Amino acid sequence: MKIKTLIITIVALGLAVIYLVPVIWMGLSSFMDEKDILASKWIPSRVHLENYKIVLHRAKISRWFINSLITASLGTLGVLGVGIFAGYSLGRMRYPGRRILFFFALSGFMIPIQGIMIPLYLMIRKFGLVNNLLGLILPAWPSSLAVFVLSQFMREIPIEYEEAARMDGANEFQILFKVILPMSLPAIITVTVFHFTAIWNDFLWPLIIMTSDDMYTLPVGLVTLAGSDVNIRYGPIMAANVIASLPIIIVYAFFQRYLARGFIMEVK
Amino acid sequence: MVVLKKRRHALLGYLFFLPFGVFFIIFRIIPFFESVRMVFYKWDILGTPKFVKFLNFKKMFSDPTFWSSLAHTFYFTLLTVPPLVILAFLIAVLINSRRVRGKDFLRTAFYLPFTLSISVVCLTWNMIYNPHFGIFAQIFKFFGAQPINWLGDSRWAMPAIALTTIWWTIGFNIVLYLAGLQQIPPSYYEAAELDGATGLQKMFYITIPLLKRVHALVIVLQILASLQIFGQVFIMTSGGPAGKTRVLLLYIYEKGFRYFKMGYAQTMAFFLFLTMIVFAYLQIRLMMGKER
Repeated sequence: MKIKTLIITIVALGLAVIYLVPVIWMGLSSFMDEKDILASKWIPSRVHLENYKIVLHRAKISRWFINSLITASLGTLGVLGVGIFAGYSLGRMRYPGRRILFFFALSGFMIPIQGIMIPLYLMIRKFGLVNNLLGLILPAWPSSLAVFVLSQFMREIPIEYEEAARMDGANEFQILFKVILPMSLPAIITVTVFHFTAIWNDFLWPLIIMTSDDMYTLPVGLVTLAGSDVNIRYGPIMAANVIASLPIIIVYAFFQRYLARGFIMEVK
Repeated sequence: MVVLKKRRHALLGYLFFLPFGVFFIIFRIIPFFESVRMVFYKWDILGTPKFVKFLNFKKMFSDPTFWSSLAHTFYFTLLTVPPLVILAFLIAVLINSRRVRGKDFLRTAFYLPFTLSISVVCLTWNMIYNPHFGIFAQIFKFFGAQPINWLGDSRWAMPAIALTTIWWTIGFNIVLYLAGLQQIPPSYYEAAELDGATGLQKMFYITIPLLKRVHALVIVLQILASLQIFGQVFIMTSGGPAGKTRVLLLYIYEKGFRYFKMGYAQTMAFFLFLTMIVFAYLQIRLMMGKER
């Protein structure tokens, strides 16, 4: 029995390490000069920090980083802002037409962004938001997924908590913010991590609406960087990759155990 | 008094929904109706749109590049969906096994690539596929074989992109499966063990059937994701070699945002939307579960 545990564990860990080889390689290459990389080395012959200097110096990577950070933060805040109220309304309030509104909100699942990106682009252009971070932020706000996850989670909270607060004279806002919201924290974290990562990593939409390299987000900036300057190759690109990846890995490390919980809750 | 309270409550209900509703109508519903309208227009970005009835559809159905792009999208979907479902399930079972130690590390290791940005993933894999110094080239050389130029070879480019995609996104499916596995009561397995069930029997009579809804959800989400393939191709091959990896969304992007044929591009986008709508509907049904 013990031996079986040992063998299965070794196999699983081995698979996981092999799985991480590309990430490890990315990290190692970011410290290599071009000669090492072309010679297929795995250990840098000397730790070569120039890659990071080149990228931070020559590319607008800090600018792209800030653009991504602003977009992902305000995008996610907006998703939560409109999503929490809508989720509370649909999940916990009773009024005529609630079910219709619920299905209306969910119809967003049927409208993939790729299907509407052209009219959406023309609209953003009309609003004068091309090459503007608001053009990335505002369209992210109405998230059907967020409303769905939040309303389903809030629905499960026992009515007794709400009734007790009502007895004490709490109004709807107080019930939402003092009773329901604190208890919905797992769902809120799920929504936050999911949308922050999705917006941070989005590629197609910023590629479409950003026209100057000052306004690129990290994913678009990285790709143009790799395609533009022949001097910025392998090593510096890998350094840029590392810089771009660290924040998300850190966010994930903090919140990983919550990530799937809200999303999968319904899958019983 | 009660009626008044009820009415106030209802009013607040609508009011709370309103902000979402407004943004939803502006950024989803209106563009959606626009997207349907646009397919009947010749719509260059500068000139005035011209109503052309079904001309865009006629053009699309006789455009060989449209058909090949569609075929490439389906090919990619076929290459990615089965492994992304089956392997994700098997890895999740492995991580969930009672006999495995280090579950947190394993889950993190397999999920980590999914947190990386598409650009980071593709630029790194471009290097991995490099025919001179990439990881596969090193392995081939080690065995004395001639390295393959994966992304430059019309037979291998799409499978290579598929492999990168599998590596990048499988973690998400694993997490969905893990959440499902954890909801199976251990008593089911204990009862089966008392009856002398083997590991395989437990797998086929307990694990797989009880995860029916998770399987369905993973498959549907994966088909939707694979049909929307764009970034990997854009970054790794730009549709090459010789257009062999040009997928539908890439063709739509080229027509719409390089040549500014908005009407024609939207017609193809509408077609893509139609291929996805069945799966999108299934997704809602699956996520809703018992809610009716």
